[in-house]
Amino acid sequence: MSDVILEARNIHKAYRMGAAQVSVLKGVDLKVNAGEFLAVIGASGSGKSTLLHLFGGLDRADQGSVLFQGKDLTRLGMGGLNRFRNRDAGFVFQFYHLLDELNILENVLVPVMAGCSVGAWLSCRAQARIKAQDLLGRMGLKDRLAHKPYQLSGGERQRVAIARALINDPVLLLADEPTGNLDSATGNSILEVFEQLNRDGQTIVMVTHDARIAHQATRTIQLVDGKIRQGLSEPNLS
Amino acid sequence: MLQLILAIKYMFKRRIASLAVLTVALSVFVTLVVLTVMHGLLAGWKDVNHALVGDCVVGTESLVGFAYYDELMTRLEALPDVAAVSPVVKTYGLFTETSTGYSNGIEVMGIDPVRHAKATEFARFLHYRSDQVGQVFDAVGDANRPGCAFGVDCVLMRDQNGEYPFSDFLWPRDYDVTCFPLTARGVLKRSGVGEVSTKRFTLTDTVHSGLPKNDDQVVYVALHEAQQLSGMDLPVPRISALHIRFREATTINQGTQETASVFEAFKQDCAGRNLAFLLDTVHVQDWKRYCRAMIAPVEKEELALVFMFVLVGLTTVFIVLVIFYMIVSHKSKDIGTLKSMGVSSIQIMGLYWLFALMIGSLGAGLGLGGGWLFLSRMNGVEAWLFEKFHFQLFNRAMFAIDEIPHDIDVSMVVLIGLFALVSCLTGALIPAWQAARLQPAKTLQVSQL
Amino acid sequence: MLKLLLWLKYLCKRKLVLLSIAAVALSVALLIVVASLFSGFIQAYEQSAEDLIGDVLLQSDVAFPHYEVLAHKLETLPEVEAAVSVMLTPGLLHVGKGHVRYVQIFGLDETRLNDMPSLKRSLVHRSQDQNLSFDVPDHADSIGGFVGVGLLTEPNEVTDQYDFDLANESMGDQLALTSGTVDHETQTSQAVAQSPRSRTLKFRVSDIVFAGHSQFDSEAVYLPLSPLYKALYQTDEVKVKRMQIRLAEGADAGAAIEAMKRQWAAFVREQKLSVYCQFYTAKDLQADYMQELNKQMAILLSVFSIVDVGVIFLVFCIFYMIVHLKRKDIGVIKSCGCSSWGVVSIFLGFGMFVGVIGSLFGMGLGYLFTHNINTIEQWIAAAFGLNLWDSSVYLFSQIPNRINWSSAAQISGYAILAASIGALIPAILAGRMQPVDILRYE
Repeated sequence: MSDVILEARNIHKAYRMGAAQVSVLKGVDLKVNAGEFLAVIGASGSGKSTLLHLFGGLDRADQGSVLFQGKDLTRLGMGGLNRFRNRDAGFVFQFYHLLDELNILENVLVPVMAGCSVGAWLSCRAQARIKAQDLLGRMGLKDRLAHKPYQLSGGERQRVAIARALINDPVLLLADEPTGNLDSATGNSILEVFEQLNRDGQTIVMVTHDARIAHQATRTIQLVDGKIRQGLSEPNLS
Repeated sequence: MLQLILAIKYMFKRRIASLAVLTVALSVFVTLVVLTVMHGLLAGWKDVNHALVGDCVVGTESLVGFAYYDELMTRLEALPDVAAVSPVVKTYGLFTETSTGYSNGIEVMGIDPVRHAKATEFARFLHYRSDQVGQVFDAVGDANRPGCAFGVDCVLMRDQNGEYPFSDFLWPRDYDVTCFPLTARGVLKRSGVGEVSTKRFTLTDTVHSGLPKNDDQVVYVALHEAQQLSGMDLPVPRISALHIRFREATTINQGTQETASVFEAFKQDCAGRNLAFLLDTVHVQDWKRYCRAMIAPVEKEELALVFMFVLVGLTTVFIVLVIFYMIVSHKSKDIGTLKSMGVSSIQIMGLYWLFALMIGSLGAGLGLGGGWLFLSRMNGVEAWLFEKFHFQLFNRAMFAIDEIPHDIDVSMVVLIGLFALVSCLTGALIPAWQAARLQPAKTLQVSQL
Repeated sequence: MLKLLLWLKYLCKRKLVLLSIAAVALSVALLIVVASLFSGFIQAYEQSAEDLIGDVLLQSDVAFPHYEVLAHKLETLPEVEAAVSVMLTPGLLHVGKGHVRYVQIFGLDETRLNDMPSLKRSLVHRSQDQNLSFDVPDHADSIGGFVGVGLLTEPNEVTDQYDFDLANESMGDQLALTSGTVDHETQTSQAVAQSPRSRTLKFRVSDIVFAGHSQFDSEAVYLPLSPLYKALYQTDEVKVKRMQIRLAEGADAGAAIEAMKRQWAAFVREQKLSVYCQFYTAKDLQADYMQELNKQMAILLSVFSIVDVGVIFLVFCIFYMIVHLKRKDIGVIKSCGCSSWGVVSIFLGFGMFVGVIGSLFGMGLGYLFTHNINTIEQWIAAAFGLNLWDSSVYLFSQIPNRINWSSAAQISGYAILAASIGALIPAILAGRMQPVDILRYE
């Protein structure tokens, strides 16, 4: 039996839309095991991205708790949440969200720089650069280190985003529609990267609206109307 | 570290940052140039007043003057803070140029030139004998004829370039100076006869201070001559004022207070003496108060300038605010991304403040550098403009300056630079705070992109 | 209609637009304050000259008699409101025992005191009198005179305010005035070096002058012309060299002077005089100085206009950003059939709109600042411990606080133009956008 590293207990989340209150999550319970590749599927507006934001500490639940390695994220202060996002979780977004002003290598190094002071950065810079180059090499971008994000294709940009998410060796990789903005061939190559990472032991939670893509995960759950639809939280066989 | 790198990248990659730098540089440039020139003009004006008057004046407006001044001088000279004291007679009369018969009203200043040069910077304004101030009233040729030094505008006319046609040698010209001699009670001596005192002087030097009131209305003569003319010589000698210079280490306030207390004590000791009542109209004033009629409008103008630059500062703050607001609203996605990677709100705020600091430093640097360059070349440019187009920024006949002031005051540079930095930080404050408050989950929502 | 609707929507929804309006407003306010302060200073100088010499000054080379005849002649002209003969001479005022002050004595035609409104305004007691006179109550036989407040009391060392109670104690007191007369002063223009003779005149203080102008307040004594002249020159035939002329409302100074020259020629002919005279307007006498001040103002305004260039850039950036953010709207509008020019005019018109609103606010702000500048000055003075002079200062007891509306209108016009120029390029960019490029997803 694998260890549970992430657990959602009865989480609720609502947003204000003008005068109306829209409930997005209505009591979600979910466990993610270490080394698991979990896909969350659902229609647009079903609450998948919200769930991912709550898992990543980007947002706070109105009710319920999110436990990461036994620690309740909802009880963490701002500093604790910042540390969690910097060290323990890595994000991959649908629109890559690379910083236009920085080149590829610098983009990958952002989480390292964010997590250390000037002094610390000067002492660990060489090591971090080697690691970033290595990661980019694994993503097939060894020759593009000095390029700017806008000089890369969509697939390449997403690989940079993945390298950036992995630079601090996070326990958890969170991906929000990572292939949603790519053609199917490029999307497949990105999924292969995820599969490879998962095979190397990386825990991944991926949100998608495409059941075909979700099929690549080791387990799939479906969100319907802010709740997990029972009967689909089985491990995928393929 | 990330803040530094991103701030530098923002600085050089975002065109709008150069706009902010340009705005700050322009404001700093304008402020430095205008304040240096105007402050130079105003400071020059004050300086001349100070130089003519000394640090402090114990004197009366009454044309009768006051007596026992030698005793007061002895007491004042004994003060450790007093460097020099000069007795002065100030009265009004009429001068007539003997060769042409031209006559006009004039203010007569009687001074002991050596003492006066120690208590004030009188010697600096003499054209011919500033190095031999002791001989300023010695007439060439006739040793018995007393000399006089007229304000330059009384005897010379500026040419079209605003220059005085000084010759190497001052041709002797004679002037009759006429005054009403007054008794100590203030009535005319020999008033029944209706006579006045007249004495003939030879022009021995000119005084050019740059103050119109001084240069076209004053004649300096030896102290005893003025005393005779005004009736202050007998039976007890009187003067109008003592001009005092304090030692370097003494502040004007401190020296003036000390002088005032010595004067009060002196006044009490004189009570009961015949002419003690003349001390009632005597005041002890520092040079600023003594010259207030000249300085006050200048101070008002200086204050009006300060207002204008406060507004320039406000506009700069505002432009920086708008630019930062634009940057932040343009960069909300990046802020969300950074926050998703664990960058804290304080770090985000620090990033924008660092950016503002860079803009402020670069803008202030450029503005100050440009201002310095402009100021150092300004007189050359003005000379060229005058030569080619006959355009003068400051009409020399009005402003009595040789060149436009361009000496940069280091403290002003520092102050303007700091003000620019503070303006930028203030302008960036609200946008930086807004950026720090951005919720990553909201900015990264697909619908927000 | 669509344009108006979009302007309103953008105006209400985009904080950036409000910021650009505020930027325009601030720069307009800045320039208005600068222009108003400077033109205020210039006006104050002009006013001081007019107070001193009237609108036009008649100055002859030699003193002439029968000045009342000339005054009547001049006053028959429609351009002339009043002509007051004035004699100006320096003197010594014996204020008390051992206290003698240098003064400027103004001998004024006593029948025309009401025609000197600026003097009347500055009198402490008689400023509201219907028929202003030098008369001293209870001393019908004495000569009365107006004395500057600074001759009767000294300003307080701390507050720089005159003690009017103390000055009022001198009301009715007899003072002695001494002046010298030189014969050539009245007889001939050819200078003949002669010693002046001293003459003394006693008069009583009938009012106190407080003009807020140190030169007058601390040096001026006003006396009736005839007794003054008689005392100085020991003759009954009063002559003057100077006449201050106040023009009728709206009269052209040039035309008035031409008419007055003709009257003067007739007067000289009738009286068989051989006197030459010149007419100067107050502005003529100050022309060099005014020109210099106006030049300074122009330079300062152009220097500050550099700040306006910054505002053009700012409006450009803001509009560029709005166009960028509103790309989708532009696509939609164009797909609904709006022409490129239509889109350009939306943004260009909006720029102008921002300029107009900003200018209006700027005018308001400039007005508020200028109007309250003396209060603000006091705050600043208190905050920085500046030494401020009050009553005894030369020329200005206050910083001028009147708005120069013509400059304000001009500055606003430039600001609207600047905002429109700033909006021009973004508007053209918006107009050139292709809907298909904008609406295509990625």
